[in-house]
Amino acid sequence: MERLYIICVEDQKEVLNTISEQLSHFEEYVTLEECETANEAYDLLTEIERKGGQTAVVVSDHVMPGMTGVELFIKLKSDSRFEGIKKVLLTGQATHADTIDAINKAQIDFYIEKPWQSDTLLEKVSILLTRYIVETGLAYEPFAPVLHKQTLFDLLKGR
Amino acid sequence: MIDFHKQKLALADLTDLNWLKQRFFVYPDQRIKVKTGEVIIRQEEVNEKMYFMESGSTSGYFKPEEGEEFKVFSTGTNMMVGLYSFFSHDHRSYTTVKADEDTVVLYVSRDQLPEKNSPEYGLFLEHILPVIVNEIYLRQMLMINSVSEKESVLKKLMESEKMATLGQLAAGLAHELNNAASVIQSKAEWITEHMKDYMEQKDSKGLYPYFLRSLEKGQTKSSVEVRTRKEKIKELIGVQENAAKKLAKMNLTDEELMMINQKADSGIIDRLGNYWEAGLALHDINIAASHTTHVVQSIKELGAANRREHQNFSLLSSIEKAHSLLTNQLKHIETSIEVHEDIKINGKEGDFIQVWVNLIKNAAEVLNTKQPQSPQIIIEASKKGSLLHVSIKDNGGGIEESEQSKIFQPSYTTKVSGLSFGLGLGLSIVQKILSSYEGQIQLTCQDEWTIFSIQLPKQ
Repeated sequence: MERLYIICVEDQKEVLNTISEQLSHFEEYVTLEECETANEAYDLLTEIERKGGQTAVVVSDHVMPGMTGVELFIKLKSDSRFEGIKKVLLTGQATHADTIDAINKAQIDFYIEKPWQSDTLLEKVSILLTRYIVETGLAYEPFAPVLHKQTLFDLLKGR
Repeated sequence: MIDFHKQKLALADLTDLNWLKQRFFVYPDQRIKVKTGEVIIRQEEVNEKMYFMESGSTSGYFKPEEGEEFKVFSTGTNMMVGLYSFFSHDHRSYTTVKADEDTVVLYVSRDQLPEKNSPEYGLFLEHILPVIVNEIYLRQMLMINSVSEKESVLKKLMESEKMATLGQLAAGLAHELNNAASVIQSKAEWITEHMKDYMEQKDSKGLYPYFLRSLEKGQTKSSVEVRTRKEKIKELIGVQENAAKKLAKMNLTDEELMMINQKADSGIIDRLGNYWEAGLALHDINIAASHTTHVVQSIKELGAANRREHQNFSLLSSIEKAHSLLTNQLKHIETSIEVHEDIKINGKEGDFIQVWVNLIKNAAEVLNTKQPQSPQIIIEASKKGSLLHVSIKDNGGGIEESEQSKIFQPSYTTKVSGLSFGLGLGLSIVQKILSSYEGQIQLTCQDEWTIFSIQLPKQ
């Protein structure tokens, strides 16, 4: 089974704890990593890629010191190594312009506004993980318990 | 203001006032003494006379149909009044002219003027014309001045209106949030105390201390440290990825790790993780709750009239409170507070917290934007004679000389893009608060340092 990663990026520790606690649902099947800055996340993504792992989903805050979440996503978008990664922007502070940038330039997959419901986050991440696995042609069976049934069904039907 | 009298004299020199004076304003029985406040010409009434002011001064007032009367012009010695009504088509005055002080005027009636079309009348016109032009000019200038004065008053009014609205808005918001925030905070404290008892009773494996540890300190390891530690733990006790990660977050010593590992209990790591996470959750709730109440409190103090009495409070603790409000912005900045705990200030603590918040926040914003090698904020205080000095400095690169004089003005802001918008009120509020304590604030720059120095009289 391929080693898959979900990366959470958030500069406020209490919030980072909350995100990763909510996503611990996936931990049995996917490795969950936490980062406090976008730069740290970028380095980690590179490291994972170098070691032959794959990052499926990045959940990131937008406003952080240094690189912002949207900037990180734009950087990933323009890098062929990270093209397929699913991106979730989790923020309550993006301006209209930031959001437009995120959609147009970074092609984020989901935008979740703070404060969020843990069910929403879980569902979106599950959908994206499913899409990542099917799109990259990985065997989905080992991950089945944490995948999104309807999404998986639709994708397989269309294949 | 334009100097009317200078202008008037210049024009008077051009005009041969003497000619008019000697020719028309010479009759002793047409010389009137007017007492202060007495009316010479009344608005809307027909005026058949032209007045020359021998001494004193008068003002013309216009009263609109509704509303208060207001001043339209003023005249002084060697000037003339009644010109407009005298020459206008219906001879009615548009103002009421009153004496500002005891005044002496000379007048000439319409019927005393030379016959129209006579050469004498031509001479009269030639001499009176510059006087009329001068009067028009003076009234025009007075209007321009009052309009521009009004304009600046209006601007100031809008400025203070803006601040008042903002304050009311903030106060309303704070009021709404205050109750909710205090409930959350006190219930979080309550549940924490009860959870402590419950966890202690439930614990039979010596895991309670780990609950207490995360409850008190929270998660102190950074995400990078956790990853390094995780690898070390995997090597050390040979556990799986997820278990290693849990243990890595817990800040356990190697001895503690070994001890836990030796307990031949397969579920021990999970249970330990639960204890630790329960503590951490409560810790985070308490931090977030008290942060919320602090923020709400400070907004309340900012917006509403702070009714609290003056009191003696510790300078250090007020700075620490401000610091705690800004924890998030100060995360990547080395902040040192070199203030002796004995220094006391007499006043409203909220006022001073607001001053420190504004100044520290400005510094933090500069540092977070410019990101110098090792961002620093240094806060120092000292007593010198009868003065208390407090300085707040940051190594964010200083402020351009051309900007230095502007930064205390209300509505001056450098933060105009994206999310970091500012209202530009921070430093003007700081200055206002400090001056209410007879204090002063100064800005100096030295190399990469920006230094705000505050002086307060010691009470």
